Amino acid sequence: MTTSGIFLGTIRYGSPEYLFGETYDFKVDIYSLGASLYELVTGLEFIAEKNQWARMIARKRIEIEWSWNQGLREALESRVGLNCVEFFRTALDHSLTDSSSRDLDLGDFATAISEKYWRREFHFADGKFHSASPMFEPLGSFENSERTVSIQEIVKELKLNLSHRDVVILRRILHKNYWSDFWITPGGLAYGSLRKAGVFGRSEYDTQGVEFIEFHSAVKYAYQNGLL
Amino acid sequence: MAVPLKWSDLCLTREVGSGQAGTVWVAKLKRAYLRLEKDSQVAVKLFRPWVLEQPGQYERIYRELETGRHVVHPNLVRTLGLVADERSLPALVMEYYDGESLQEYLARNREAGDPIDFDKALDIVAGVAGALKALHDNGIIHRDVKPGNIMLTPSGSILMDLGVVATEHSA
Repeated sequence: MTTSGIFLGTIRYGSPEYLFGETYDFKVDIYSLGASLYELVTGLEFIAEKNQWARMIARKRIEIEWSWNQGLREALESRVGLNCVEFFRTALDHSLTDSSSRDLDLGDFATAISEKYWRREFHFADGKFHSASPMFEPLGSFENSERTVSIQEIVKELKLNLSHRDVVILRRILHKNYWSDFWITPGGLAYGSLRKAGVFGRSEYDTQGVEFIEFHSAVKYAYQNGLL
Repeated sequence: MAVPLKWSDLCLTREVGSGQAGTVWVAKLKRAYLRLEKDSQVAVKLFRPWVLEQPGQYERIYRELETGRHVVHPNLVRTLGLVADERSLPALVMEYYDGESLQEYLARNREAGDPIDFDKALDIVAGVAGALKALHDNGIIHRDVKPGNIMLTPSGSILMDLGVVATEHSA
């Protein structure tokens, strides 16, 4: 804590507009919460270098601008698991951004966590996915393995390029409720934490740099379009 | 209305934190106060004299007291009162939370390379988000949210240090 009257708080977690002495409002807290969340879910230091402050001054904001990258995705995947990556990415995207677009709703966020929307325990209740919060999409889970899923139809509708072998594996995974560890990429399927766990060995697909669709999104889409 | 706390109601036992602005001690209550029983532990924040000479410092301490008193949330630190210590300087009495800070937890975790206890991590974040929402709903900005100010206790995370709060219109 400093007592200079100019800046009270902690530089490392301070939002750009606060650090640079601009006008600010309650959104400075959202930024700091995002920075703390970043450390918690990635295991990385938010601003790692000791002399970062001096560099920020020199280069203005460049150093502290939030950007999503592959390294962060990997850190997040190894720490929180594939099925939570999008949830936290959403939270970080909406808190570590410029104040004009920083709109993480704290109430929504706390509710989404405590009601476990993103977790596997979430039920595919009444045959529908429910979302109380517009910002956070729930992650579903097939509690009922008796459910018949027409994979061919999802594949057809989403114009996915899946091999017969993919479909067989997909069916097995759906049956075992492991589907949220699954990713669909234009290059084919990627087996997230199952791959890490060594269940299927290494993925044959190069997933670097492609647009991922989390499998639950595909299933949700297919469901909403009456394919399931 | 409870009889306000006095310095003589406190028995300082040990120092638990020291910073630029002052020190934090754990004290035992010599009498019951509000919902705290006799011999309950409280935290007492003592200030360094030079800090109090800074302009606006007394107002800041008073704001910390009032915020912690009026914004009630299970994940937000509660302040109990302001007393004059033996130097006749203000000392802020708060509820005492036994546990480690998120900063300590993360450092320990990083060093050991352990995976985090994910359910615990989520409860921490949800708790802090809730406490912040309570502050914001009351028109108050915390301004110093950081892992070092988040205490992990058996009953959940507590957002600490209301020392630099500001009201929305004054910011």
